[in-house]
This record gives sequence, C-alpha cells and structure tokens, in this order.
Amino acid sequence: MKILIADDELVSRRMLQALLTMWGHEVISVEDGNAAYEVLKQAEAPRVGLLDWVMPGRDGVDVCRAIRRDRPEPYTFMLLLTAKDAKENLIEGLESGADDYLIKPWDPNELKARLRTGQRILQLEDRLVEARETMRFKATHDHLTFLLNRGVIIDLLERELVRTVREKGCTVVMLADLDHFKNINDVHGHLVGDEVLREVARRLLGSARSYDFVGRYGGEEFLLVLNNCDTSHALARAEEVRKAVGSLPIQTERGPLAVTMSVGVISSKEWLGRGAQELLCEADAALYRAKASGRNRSELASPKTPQEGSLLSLT
Amino acid sequence: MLKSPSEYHERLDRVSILERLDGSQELLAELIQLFLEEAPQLIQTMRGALQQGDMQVLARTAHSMKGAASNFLAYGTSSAALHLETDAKNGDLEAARASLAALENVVERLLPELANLCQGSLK
Repeated sequence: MKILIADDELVSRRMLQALLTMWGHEVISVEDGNAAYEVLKQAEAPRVGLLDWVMPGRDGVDVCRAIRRDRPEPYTFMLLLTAKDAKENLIEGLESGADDYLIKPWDPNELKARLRTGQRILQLEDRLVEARETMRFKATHDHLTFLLNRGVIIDLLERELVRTVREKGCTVVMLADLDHFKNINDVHGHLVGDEVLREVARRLLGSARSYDFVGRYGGEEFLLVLNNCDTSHALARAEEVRKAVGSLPIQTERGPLAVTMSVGVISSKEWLGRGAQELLCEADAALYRAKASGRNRSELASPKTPQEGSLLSLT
Repeated sequence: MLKSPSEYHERLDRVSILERLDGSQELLAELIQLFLEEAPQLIQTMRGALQQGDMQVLARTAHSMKGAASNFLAYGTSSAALHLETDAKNGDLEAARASLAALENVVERLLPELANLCQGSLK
C-alpha cells in the first residue's frame, strides 16, 4: 500500500517510515499538516494517511476535515496518532473524519491490525464504486450498442442548447436512420440486425469527435449532438458521418451487408430560441425529406427551406 | 497525576524497545543517533522560547520531546516533557521554568543511557 505519514518530530517520523517500509509499504513522509493535505488531495494520492495530531500549521484533525471536504473520492483511510487521551479530544478527532486513532507510543502490532482494517475498508469502497459505476453505465447506455440511451442523449442535447445560447455558440444535431433496416431483420434475422446496429454504432463513434455525443434514439435511429460546430459545416459533417457508416459493407455472420443511412441535420444557430423537442421535430422532418428524395443522403433543416413535401436537395 | 520533577527516573527496557522495532537493531541505532542529535536542539529551542515567554513554541517543542522520547519508552522523559507542556499551555512561566530544568535533568541522564543502548545494539 502507498501510505502517507505526517509527523513534525524527526524520530517518530523515521521510526514510522522505517517500520512501514519493512512491512512492504511504499511511504511518503512529510513534516507538517499543510504538506500532508497537499499530498493527500493529489490525483494519485496514497489512500492511507497516518497523521500526527499535533503539528504546526494544519494539525491532524484539520487535515482530516479538509480531506473529507475536498476529496470525498476515492476514500482516504486516515489514522490519527496522538499522545492525548482525554475523551472529548478523541471524539473531536473522529468527528473530523478520521477513521481511527492510535495512542503514542503505539504498539506496532496494533498499527498493523489498524492498517489491515484500513485495507479492508478501501477494498470495500472500491468494490462499491465499481458496482455503482457499472450500474451508472447500464442506466445511461443502450444495452445493445453501448451508445448513450435515448433519455440521456436528449438530456445532454437540452443541456448543450442552454450552454450554446449562453456562450453564443452553435450546436449541430443529426438524426440518422438506417435505410431499409427492416429488410435486414426480415431477410437475415434479428441477430444479424443486432450485429449491424453494433457496427453502425462503432462507425458513428469513430466518426464523431471525442466531445460529441452519440446516442441510440430508437430502433435503428441514432442521434448525434455536436458542440461548437458551425452551421456552415453542418451538412458537410453529416455527409462525413453518413459516409463513415455506409461506404463499406458491414461484415456479419451472413456475409457482408451494404447498409446506408439517411440523415436530418439541424443547427441551433439557425433556430435560435428553439428547444430540444422543436429541433428534433425539424430534424425529423429533414430526415423524412432525405428518405423521400431517395435515401442515403443528408438534408439540412433550415428555416429558409420550405417545410412540407419539398424534394429540394442540399447535397 | 504528574510527578514532582525530582521523581523522574529513566530506566530503559531494551527488549521492549526492540520489540517495537520488529527486532531491528540497525533501526534502533539509527533512531538513537537521530535522538542524540535532535534532543539538544529541542532543549535549545525550549530555552529560547522560555526566555522570550513564547508559551506556544514552548508547549509545541515540549510536545515533540514527549513524542520523541516515547519511542524509546523513556517514560521519565516523556512525563517531564508532558509536565512542561502543561505548564506552558497554562501560561505558567514560573512552573515552566522549573519543569524545563527538571526535563533537562532527566534528558541529561537519558542521553548516555541511549548511547549505551546504541553501542549494545551494534555489538
């Protein structure tokens, strides 16, 4: 284990450091509470801190309090070393967020046992965090494609629209739908259809920038939210995404399948003040136009474009 | 609970001290060496603090002495240091003066004991 020790007194610090090293731990040793705080709040900080109670500057109790406040995760197991034995002091120490305490001169076997307790608590915490993260991923992602699920991608779109208005930026939204997907399911079966959806998802993620959002909107419908993407690039980006999905056949257990996609694109800047639902509605209308004008193409939803039944192509 | 300064004695228990160090005589020698260097500095600091009436530094330094000595289970020294720490915290200059004198006295007896222990551990 990586362990931080903080003690302003030389002999005690060296003894602790030497013993912990002998027991196979990696030790970082500092002389006061401020330094202890700085070390413990770093990204790759030790998960265990042995803190002398009385130190100049920040004392051990202050360090516990500050670390609990400023670095709740991952959990740090903190042990106070104290010569004090008045009851109210110990209560103050534990209420500051310390996990335990040892009274000096401490018994090495007792210290070892407390460290094992610490290790158990940290392992338990790690397992809980891991389980929570798994649950969080499952709750926010589509189980088939591992893209963001419909609820999450719409929430993110709403949030992006608020941000984009505040920052006077532009968000581009793409509603993409696979062409004739029903045929794939009907002819080759749902398992092959699932393979296609998974590969399309991979290709969509591959063609998006790391800060774009890609979600599964419905059965074979996908929603892409591109931050800081200007109106003038919207259609070109949609075409790139469309080609990324459709330019190469998808390998399935039934052999390679040619799959194409139609895209409805919309830019928030052209529709200032419109909410997510309105933009999605317009993007859907543009997608419908792309389908109606022959599929495998992208259509921009523009306030200047006639809305109903137009076959005007922008590609 | 505090003994009067004249009652402090120092009798070191080598076996128990070594037990705390997982039996490492090498570590014991190193720690003793550190203490032999540190103790006179702590005494110096305490004298200076007392002279300037800086009770905070006096209390903190006495606390360090208490902690340092307790590693060698030197209870006479740590008790004397606790006595001084308490006086300093109470802001009792006269009592602190007497307690520091007593502490110096017991540390003076402790240092050769430790030096002996150190030589013993190198054999």
